[in-house]
Amino acid sequence: MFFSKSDKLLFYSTLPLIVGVLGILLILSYMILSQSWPSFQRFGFAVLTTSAWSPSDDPQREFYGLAAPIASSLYVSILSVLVSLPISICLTLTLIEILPKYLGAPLRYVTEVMGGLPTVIYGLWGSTTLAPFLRDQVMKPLHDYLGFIPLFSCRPLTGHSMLAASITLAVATTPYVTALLIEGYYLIPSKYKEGAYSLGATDYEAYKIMMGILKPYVIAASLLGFSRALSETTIVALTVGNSMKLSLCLFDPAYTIPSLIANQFESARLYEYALPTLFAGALTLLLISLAASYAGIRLVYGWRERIHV
Amino acid sequence: MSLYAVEVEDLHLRIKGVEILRGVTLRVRRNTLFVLMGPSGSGKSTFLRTLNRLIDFVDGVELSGLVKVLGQDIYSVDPYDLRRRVVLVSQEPNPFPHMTIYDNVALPARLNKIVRTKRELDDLVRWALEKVMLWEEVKDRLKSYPHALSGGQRQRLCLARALAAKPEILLLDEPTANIDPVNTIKIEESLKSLRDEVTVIMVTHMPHQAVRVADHVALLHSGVIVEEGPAMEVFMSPKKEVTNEFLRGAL
Ligand SMILES: Nc1ncnc2c1ncn2[C@@H]1O[C@H](COP(=O)(O)OP(=O)(O)O)[C@@H](O)[C@H]1O
Ligand SMILES: [Mg+2]
Repeated sequence: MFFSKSDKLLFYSTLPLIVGVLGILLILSYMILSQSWPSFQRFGFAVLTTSAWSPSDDPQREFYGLAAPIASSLYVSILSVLVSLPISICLTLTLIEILPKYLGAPLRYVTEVMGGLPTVIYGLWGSTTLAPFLRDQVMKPLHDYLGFIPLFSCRPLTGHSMLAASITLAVATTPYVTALLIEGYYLIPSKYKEGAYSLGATDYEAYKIMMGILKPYVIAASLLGFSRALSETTIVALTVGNSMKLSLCLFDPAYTIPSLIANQFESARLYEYALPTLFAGALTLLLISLAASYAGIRLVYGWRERIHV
Repeated sequence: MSLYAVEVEDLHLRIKGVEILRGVTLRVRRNTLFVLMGPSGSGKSTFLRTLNRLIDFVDGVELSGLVKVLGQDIYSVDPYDLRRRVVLVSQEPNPFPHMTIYDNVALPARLNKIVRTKRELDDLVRWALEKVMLWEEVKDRLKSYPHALSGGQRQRLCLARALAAKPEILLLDEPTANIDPVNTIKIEESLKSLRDEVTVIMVTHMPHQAVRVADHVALLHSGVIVEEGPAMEVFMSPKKEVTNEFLRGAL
């Protein structure tokens, strides 16, 4: 498989890097697994399927179950992707196709910069500005008029809620997802757009065809966006309300796994099973996020092969 | 109705200041198979893409002279409408990867709303695929995706897709450049069978191909037409030394 000495040299000199990357992943996984092990031993899989957070000085009376934060993590992340995806798709088309170049190019740059802002900035904005605004202008009216729908059935309190967290997350991940989509759009060889126009497509029809080609990439980008939202800690900890509750209602506060860990880590060290349970949550998060990223990356690889034939 | 499908007079075309077409004058009669020959870089693709205004999508194009297609100045008609009647098949096969074989061929009819029923659409798809001799090869997998096809089959699929648009002029940019001899012959055969239905303008850098299919040929060299005439005349007794060199493969 090697063609020349220098290829061989290159391969062997990068080998330590490859081993290093894989090694770190393995060590991390092992560390998290071993740290969470006592919790699985004590509670079994019930630690993932029941909901409880009752620390006690007597280990026999400690009870933990992560169903609520796991469900809320998924709920909040999926919701944020559902909000950010259509916006990202529109932004992508606007920035690439609709705006004239002298506007589209600088705005794309702005988008990339926004994707790189410290997430705590979004978190503070979501917590102090967006959440109260949503409470007064969105949640209260929805609850008053459409309260019979389970999603809106709970009374909004501080505004810190799953809705506030999802929307703040959506705002923070939109630049990231948009940047991915723009990259994907440029990966599509120009022969396809030319093909569409050659058959008499209008601009709208040509964009529609281009977005059709991009679809697997869009799914991949949403998986990566989901994975990012799922692991986001600061934003969620500042906006989700941090309360151990299993609820479908958008206006309820909740814990996600990362916000639970951030909030409980210090005190968890005092109890026998609390810390291992937090690690069990981290492990779950790691597995879901790895699976989503892997699926996304696989999708992109297959897609690239198909569009380049 | 004009006798000519294409009339071009003194066409000059610059891209970002570089002159690519330097005074092209050319007429193509309706319902002929016209082959525009020329070495690589002579401006063939650029010329073809001017005829249906695909060139509009290139930045920095300046153009002067008169280009009449189907009797009308192309800059006096709606370009989208023009491209519906003057369809181009590009050099690299570009069947849409997210559409099935059937949907690829059906697309132009759907865009242009030229059929009313599913039955008519089925018939059109079958007709187009038969024209390019692809029907037998794909009739059992119309629902599969084009990446499973060979390069030559994909190019024939694109040709079928273009035919299904029922164009008045078909522009072909080196349709056999990247494919094997068997597929090349199939494409050439289907082109010959199209003579009565549509005007075909094909670009090629291979003299033998022109010999095999053309009614009428022209040689484009460095942005000008150096010789033009009925295929037999040009091949048997070229008037210019450049043509001779090109036909010998020396350009
Ligand atoms: N978009 C473009 N920008 C700049 N130069 C171009 C562009 N398209 C074509 N050209 C130039 O125009 C000349 C003719 O190209 P082309 O029409 O593709 O020739 P052919 O199809 O005969 O090989 C080449 O020198 C090429 O580099
Ligand atoms: Mg060319």
